[in-house]
Amino acid sequence: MSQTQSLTYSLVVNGSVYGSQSARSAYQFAVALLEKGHQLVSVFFYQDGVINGSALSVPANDEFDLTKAWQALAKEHQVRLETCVAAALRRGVISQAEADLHGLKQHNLADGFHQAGLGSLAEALLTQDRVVQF
Amino acid sequence: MLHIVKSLTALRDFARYAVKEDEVLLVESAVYAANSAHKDFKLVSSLLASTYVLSADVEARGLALMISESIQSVDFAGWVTLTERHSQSMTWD
Amino acid sequence: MSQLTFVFRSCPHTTSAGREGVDALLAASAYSEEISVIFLGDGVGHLLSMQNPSEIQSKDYAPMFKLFDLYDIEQVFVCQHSLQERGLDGAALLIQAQVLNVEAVQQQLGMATKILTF
Repeated sequence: MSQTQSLTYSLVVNGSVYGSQSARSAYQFAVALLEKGHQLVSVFFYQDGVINGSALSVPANDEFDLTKAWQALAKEHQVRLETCVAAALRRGVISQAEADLHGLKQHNLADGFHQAGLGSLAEALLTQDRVVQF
Repeated sequence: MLHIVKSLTALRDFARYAVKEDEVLLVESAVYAANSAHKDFKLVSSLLASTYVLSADVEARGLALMISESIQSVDFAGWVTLTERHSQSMTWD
Repeated sequence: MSQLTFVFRSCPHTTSAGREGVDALLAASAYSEEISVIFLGDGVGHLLSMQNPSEIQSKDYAPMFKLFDLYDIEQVFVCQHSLQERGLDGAALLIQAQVLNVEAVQQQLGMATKILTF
């Protein structure tokens, strides 16, 4: 049986950190693809998916902490976690720089997440072997 | 092409546009349609050989004994394998 | 040649998916000339002219579809079956989209390198 070559992946996550299942499925898919030896280059969080990048979610202590899981995954496997800046601003996921820019007293973008433009999504679509939408 | 179908309403849309070379993975709420007694089973009954269901979503919903034997159950690694096979994937939610 | 295909399946304003889909596709057009757009299912609602969301405080993003010409996005398709079953067959559309039967939509989907749905 031939070995599948290692592929590069980007994931597009549109589901929130809680309230719908899709972001969790995306995470589990990410873990599985890494275990199979593929490369997860980036995860682009769009629409409600940007809420995965909030540092302020507090899941119950017997429940899965998805934001923390993304952060650990990114750190261990050098995955770029990108929240679409326009979608994030509208939904209240704000980096320090944006807070300063918009005169907001607080910011909440979780460590390991980076605000990115839609150009990043376009680049992922054009560059990676596989782009899977959740 | 790999179609990833997440809900029963999405399944109804998807069914119109699938072609025979496609494969489809039922996830989230769409797994209910993998039960041969479900009203929407007919949407996949002509595609059974190329229809898969995510076992984690089946288990979560207590459907393990109801899934048609003609539909293959896959885990997340199996989902990855499906994406290896198809350079195109399309998600229906 | 990489063909990026944006499929609109959801109707406008109820969720932001359509608006955010248009944003994504216009951004992508700066990176690639091979962009195609398909309206099917409830997504055909995006093409109705006379949309006026001012009273629901929603952004009127329908005019953004008229930018397709300016951005050289020429491969724009709408599913005839989806229009018909929604009683929109004779409706005035915002832009010139090629009306396709189901088989032709399947062909367009088959030609895509990467697909995103909104």
